[in-house]
Amino acid sequence: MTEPLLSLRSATKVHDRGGAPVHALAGVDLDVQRGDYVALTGPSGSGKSTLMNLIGCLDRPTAGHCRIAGTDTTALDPADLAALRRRIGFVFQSFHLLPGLTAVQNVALPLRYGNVAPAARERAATAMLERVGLGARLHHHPRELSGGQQQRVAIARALVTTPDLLLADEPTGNLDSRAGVEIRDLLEELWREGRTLVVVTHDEALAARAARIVRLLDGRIVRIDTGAGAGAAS
Amino acid sequence: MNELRELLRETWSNRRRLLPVVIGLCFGTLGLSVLLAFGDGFDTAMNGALQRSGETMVRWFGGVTSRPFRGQPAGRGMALLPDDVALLRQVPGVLAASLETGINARVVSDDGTRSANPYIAAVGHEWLAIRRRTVEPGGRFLSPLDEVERRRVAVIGAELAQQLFRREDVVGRTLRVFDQPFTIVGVLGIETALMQSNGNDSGKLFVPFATAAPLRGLRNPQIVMARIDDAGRARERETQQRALLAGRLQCDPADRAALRVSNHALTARDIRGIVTGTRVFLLVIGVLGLLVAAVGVANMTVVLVEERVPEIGLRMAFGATPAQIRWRQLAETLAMVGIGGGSGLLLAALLLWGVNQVPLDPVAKGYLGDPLLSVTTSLVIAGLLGLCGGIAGWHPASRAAAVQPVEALRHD
Ligand SMILES: Nc1ncnc2c1ncn2[C@@H]1O[C@H](COP(=O)(O)OP(=O)(O)OP(=O)(O)O)[C@@H](O)[C@H]1O
Ligand SMILES: [Mg+2]
Repeated sequence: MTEPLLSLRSATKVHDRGGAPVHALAGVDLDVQRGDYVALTGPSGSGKSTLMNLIGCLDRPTAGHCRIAGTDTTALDPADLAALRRRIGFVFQSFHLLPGLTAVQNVALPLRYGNVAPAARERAATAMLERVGLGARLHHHPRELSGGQQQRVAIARALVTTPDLLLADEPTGNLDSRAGVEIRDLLEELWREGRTLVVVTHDEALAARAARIVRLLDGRIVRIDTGAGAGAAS
Repeated sequence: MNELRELLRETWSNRRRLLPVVIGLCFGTLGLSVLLAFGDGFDTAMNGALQRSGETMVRWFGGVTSRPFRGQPAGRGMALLPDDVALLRQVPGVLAASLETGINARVVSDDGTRSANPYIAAVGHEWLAIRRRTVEPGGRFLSPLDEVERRRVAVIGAELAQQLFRREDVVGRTLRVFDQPFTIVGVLGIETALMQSNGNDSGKLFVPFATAAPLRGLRNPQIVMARIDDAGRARERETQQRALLAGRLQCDPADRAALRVSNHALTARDIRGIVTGTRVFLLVIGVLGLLVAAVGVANMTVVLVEERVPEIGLRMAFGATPAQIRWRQLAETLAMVGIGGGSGLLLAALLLWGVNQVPLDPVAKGYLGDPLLSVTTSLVIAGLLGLCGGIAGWHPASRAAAVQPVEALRHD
């Protein structure tokens, strides 16, 4: 078996809240293979976002290890972490688009830090927006877009560097049900194209599409279910 | 290029808040530039004026002894003699020596239509070299031969020429002094010179002492003077000259009242000290103004960075390194400083150009100089601005580079 794209061993995160330690993650072991589609679910406060931040190299574990494509993130300095982040696409719960930039400029942002020439950035960003169905909204600012459209811009931004791994924290959490369905379909499509997805969600309908459903409680994995995607997995 | 465009666009989108800061910088720079330019102009003008004043000149006046010396009583009058010039020439470090005496007398133009009552300076041929003045092109100063042959020649100050002839190109014309015709051989231009005596030189008439003395019974010069080789050794040169003159006059060399001296090199040093002090003062005031503006920049930058923490976290989440964030933030501060400081420099250049267009009396102009923004001054100001920007921007930029993405993105 090849090395997993993502591998967590006893990953622990302890926050300090006014002197009292909070075990946001209490020793998590998890492997994610290339082409996998993992849904993370669990009640509020169970540590889902904390886990995503570790995987996305936005945070470091208090104890334990997190390996991405064979690299142990705990040993990396800030510049190397930045380089590793360029291989990961992140979709945030609340879109996090820059209001001053147009859709294309927002999507092109990660390419800036990947040493891509300006013209090539714009071309790649345009293509990616067309891919998520926003070819007609390239030069709109976020405030001129609906919630679903904004989330699609955010997904395009996460995908524009053709990352090894796509992380999405509650991508449908701020959307109405119709927009939620669109995003659900889009994610599934991306996965079928061969991308590796880890998605945090409260939305059982979204989780059910994944290959594996990882259930968290109080910072621990309590159960791993098989989803509809398992049969379809390549 | 793209980066620069984005930087400027972002600066533009913050224009309302940045405007006061930029205006502060603009005026800070304007103030500093103008102060430094005036300082420069003043310095150049004073340097020129000092040079034209005979900066390495030592002048001697005969006085009255204040103490007995070698059996002679106090209260003896000390009279300088024409031969003292030759004596001075023997002293080490003396490059030129002359004598001077003067009286006011009636002067009439050759056609007899105009007259004046100027100061007539009876001098030696080296007077010009000692005072470091120049004769206008087409003419010359008095020569050794003029003295030997007691020629009736004169050098006229430009203002006096205007008064008598209504023009300045008067070489070759004659005028009557002491009821004798004198031929004009040169014109002394109008220049700002410090430490002139008996009025401005451009209003005087200069004739050879040797010619004038018998005509008016002027036996003794009021002054003998020398140009010395090195202003830095002014004190030493003065002592050497005093020793020789005192020996000839048979007075105590320590008796200051017997032989009075005006050492221009020492005076010039004091004046230069005042000029330098003034320039330093102007610089300090200007830099303080700039510092006030820089504090405004630092404040604004801190506020901007704090506001931008979520955005910085986001950029980091998409692969920006702390170094990229830091330089980007610093570049923004420098852009702000560049815009404010650049416009200040431009305004200063315009203002100074305007000031130089105002017609001024040539003598006043001689002290003020041409306050222009020199390349050196501009570079110094640009350097100071860069330094201010760097200092004001470094701390906020470090704060930006230290942003932790997780913390930043939890803001909402
Ligand atoms: N910076 C922090 N300081 C202190 N406690 C924290 C911090 N971040 C997270 N926590 C705590 O860690 C636990 C896990 O938080 P986390 O955000 O991972 O939960 P979650 O599963 O994403 O919840 P939700 O579904 O509400 O987003 C919670 O109890 C939370 O209060
Ligand atoms: Mg969460």
